[in-house]
Amino acid sequence: MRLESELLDDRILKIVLDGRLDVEGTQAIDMQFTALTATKPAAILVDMSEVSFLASIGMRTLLSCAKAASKRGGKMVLLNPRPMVKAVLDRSGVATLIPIYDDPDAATAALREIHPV
Amino acid sequence: MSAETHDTLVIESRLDELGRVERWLAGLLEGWKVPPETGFAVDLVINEAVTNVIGYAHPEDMTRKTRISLTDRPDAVVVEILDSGAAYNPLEAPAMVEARDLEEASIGGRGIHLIKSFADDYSYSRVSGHNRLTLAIHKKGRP
Repeated sequence: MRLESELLDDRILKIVLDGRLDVEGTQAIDMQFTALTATKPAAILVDMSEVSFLASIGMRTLLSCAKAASKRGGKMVLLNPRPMVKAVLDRSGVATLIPIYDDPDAATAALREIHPV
Repeated sequence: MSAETHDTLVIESRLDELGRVERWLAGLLEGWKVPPETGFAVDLVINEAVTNVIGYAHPEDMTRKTRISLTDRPDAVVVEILDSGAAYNPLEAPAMVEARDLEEASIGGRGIHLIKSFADDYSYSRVSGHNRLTLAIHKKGRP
């Protein structure tokens, strides 16, 4: 499991996840992901395109960080999950809680709308 | 020649055993040429069910064993998970409540719902001191 992060501008943090978000993979990135998303800016774009597997343990990390960002007036969105990963997000109800975009421009536009507290 | 192939893995009740499960499963799914979508669903239900067994069935005793069996049938992959923990039917767990927003959403509690959602057939039985969970995933994408 790999994680790379990049500041897109002064407002948006992009995090690229690569690998399996199962127990092992989630444990490998959880601390770094949580630390990255706990700092400003609270606008977080998570690129899911290289995530090949997602179990509920991975969704715990995504949800807990999305909740924390939301509490600070921020927002997390997911970009480009693969079809089966998208199915997991849909059927678990997470897709209604963390917005999912296929288009990077639409995702960043949604993040520019927020007004962090 | 039998139309069914079968394999079994016994693990200890520790989360770090899941890496071994992943490698075992990846080898079988590849060898059996299971369609990718079916394989993903098998992978998912095993992850959720085994995590659940380790967390709930016998959290106090990590030396207890969990046995995972996989059967490749022409129409489906059948997963059986057998553990010797206290009687516990995960299929009777309270239904997942869909949260309206992030604030009221709980972080966890989605595993059993995912099992029921991705398995086409599921059943639980208590058999001579063991919990037996049987899950079938149909091969929808087969050629």
